[in-house]
Amino acid sequence: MLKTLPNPTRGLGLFLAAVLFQTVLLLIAPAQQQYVLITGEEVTLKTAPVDPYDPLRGYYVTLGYDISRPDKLPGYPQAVTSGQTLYVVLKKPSTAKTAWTPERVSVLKPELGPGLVAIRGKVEAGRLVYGLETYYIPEAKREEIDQKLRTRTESALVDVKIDSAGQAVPVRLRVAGQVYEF
Amino acid sequence: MEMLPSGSSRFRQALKQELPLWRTRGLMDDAQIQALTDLYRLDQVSAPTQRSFLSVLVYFGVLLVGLGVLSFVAANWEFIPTALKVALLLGAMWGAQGSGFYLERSGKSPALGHGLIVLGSLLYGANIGLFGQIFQLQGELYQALFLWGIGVLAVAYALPSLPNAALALVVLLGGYLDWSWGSNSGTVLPLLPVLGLALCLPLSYRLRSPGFYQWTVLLAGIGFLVESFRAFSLFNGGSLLPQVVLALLVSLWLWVVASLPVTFFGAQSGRLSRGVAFWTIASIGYLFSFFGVTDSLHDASSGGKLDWNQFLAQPMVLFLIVTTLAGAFWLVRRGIEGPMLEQATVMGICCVGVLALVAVHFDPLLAVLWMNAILLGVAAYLIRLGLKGAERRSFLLGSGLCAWLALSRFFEYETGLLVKSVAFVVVGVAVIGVAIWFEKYLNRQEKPSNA
Repeated sequence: MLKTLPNPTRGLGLFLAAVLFQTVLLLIAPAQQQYVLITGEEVTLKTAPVDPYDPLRGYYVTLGYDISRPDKLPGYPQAVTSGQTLYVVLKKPSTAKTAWTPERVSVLKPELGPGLVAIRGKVEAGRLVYGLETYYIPEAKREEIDQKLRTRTESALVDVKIDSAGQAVPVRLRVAGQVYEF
Repeated sequence: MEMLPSGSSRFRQALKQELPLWRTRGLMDDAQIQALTDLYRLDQVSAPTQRSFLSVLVYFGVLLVGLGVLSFVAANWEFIPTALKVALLLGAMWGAQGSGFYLERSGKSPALGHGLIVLGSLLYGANIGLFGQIFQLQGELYQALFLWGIGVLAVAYALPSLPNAALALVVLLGGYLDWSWGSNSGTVLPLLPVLGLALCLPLSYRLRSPGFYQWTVLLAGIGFLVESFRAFSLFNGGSLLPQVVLALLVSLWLWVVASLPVTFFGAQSGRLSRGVAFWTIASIGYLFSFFGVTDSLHDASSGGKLDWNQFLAQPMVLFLIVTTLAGAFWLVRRGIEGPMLEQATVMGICCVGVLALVAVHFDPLLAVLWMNAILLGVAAYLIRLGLKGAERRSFLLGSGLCAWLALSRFFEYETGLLVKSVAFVVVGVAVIGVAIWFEKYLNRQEKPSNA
């Protein structure tokens, strides 16, 4: 008889550690995201799909923001390098549920007064990216949102949460008065 | 250092088949058989046909089940609350891994068990993507692939599991390629091949898998080449010489590192990588056998544009030189001999031949003669190897290289169509003649041994 006796617990500890490690890797990013959602302040940003004629790529829309464009940002520094971190100070609008407006741009984390929030961005290919550029959409809503983004691009807004470090996460998309939160 | 048993599954299957016979003939007692069973983990080896059929069926089945779970979640995306989505996805992953581990270790169904663990690794990868969608996570594809690869690598280490290791290697390679494709600079990217080696080489030892070792080394070699080319495009002044020298260096590194585990895994280990290294160096030699190339080399070398000190100061180059020399020293100490030593010598001569052209400003014509002579030497080595070992492949490669060199020279220089046609016929007839002669030679060699 060549078979040794099977031992169901042989190597169990190591295997559990590996599975736990995978689970931790899976949950790190969502945990950070949840932290921003809980602690962050809600801000509304003016947005538009990067490709207005074909907004949806598979199950997500790639969004560009007014505050992504250096020419729309007052006080944008002259000399910036690719990958550099910048903070854009946003001012609360007088009308609720409308887009916040950029007040100034700062290289260092700025001191903020009341009604102001700073969002952290990174310079990439001559634009500022905030980690808000991809918004995933479920299959059932694809056509509806695609249609609205094509015809009512100018009304597109994104509500985001921004934590004290300037880290932002998308919360919901609003197009033509309709709210999409996934 | 302790010598490891061969990891070849074919050998283990053959050994397992033979052991009962050895016991009935009284060649071995139960204690010896048990010792061999433990050493080669023969309890985990099943009959080849049964195993391959089962594995294919099981892997296909678990893939379908995994796709079913993912499609179910995707189809009901909107109606399932986030917490339930997370629970379903994690549950599917943990369920596959847990049941797989139990079935494998309890011996109830090892093939299905291992298949389920691999399914768990695939679900883990899918979960990275789906969690990205659930939580609106942003990031690059390579980040997700690295996360996937590292997680699967952990499971491959823990079990140990070759299918998981292979999956991790493919996924990490995908991550590297995606990052490498979209980026031109950075400090982390050039370190990735070294990091890959550091992560995967100990795993090949744990898996007792010469194949995994060789693939890791081969892919790392390609990574070194890609990273070095990227680093040197900044200062080479349009010349390709640093890249050529690097390709030689990486080939030598690959040969040495692929040969290191010969003591553990047997002489067959690393043949693929050594072959790749050998033919890369021969191909570079062939490139330099053209008048146009050696002529332009002369211009580039004398142009004073190249800064070899800067080349040698590159961390990648230093790493390759130091590890190649250390590995070569170790191999010499272990006493490599026979075909491996001969192959190393021929590669060394070919490298010296090319480097001499780069370093010394030869007259282009002399350089061409020099390089062609060296290549004929390479061909002679291959023919000798074929004759010595009565091995068709090496002999045909050697005579093929001779024929290829002759044809290259005919076509390189301005000759009439008639001369070219004669060259084709003469070389073709010569190749056929040599092949027929070799077959007769093999028959003559076989006859005395059959008698």
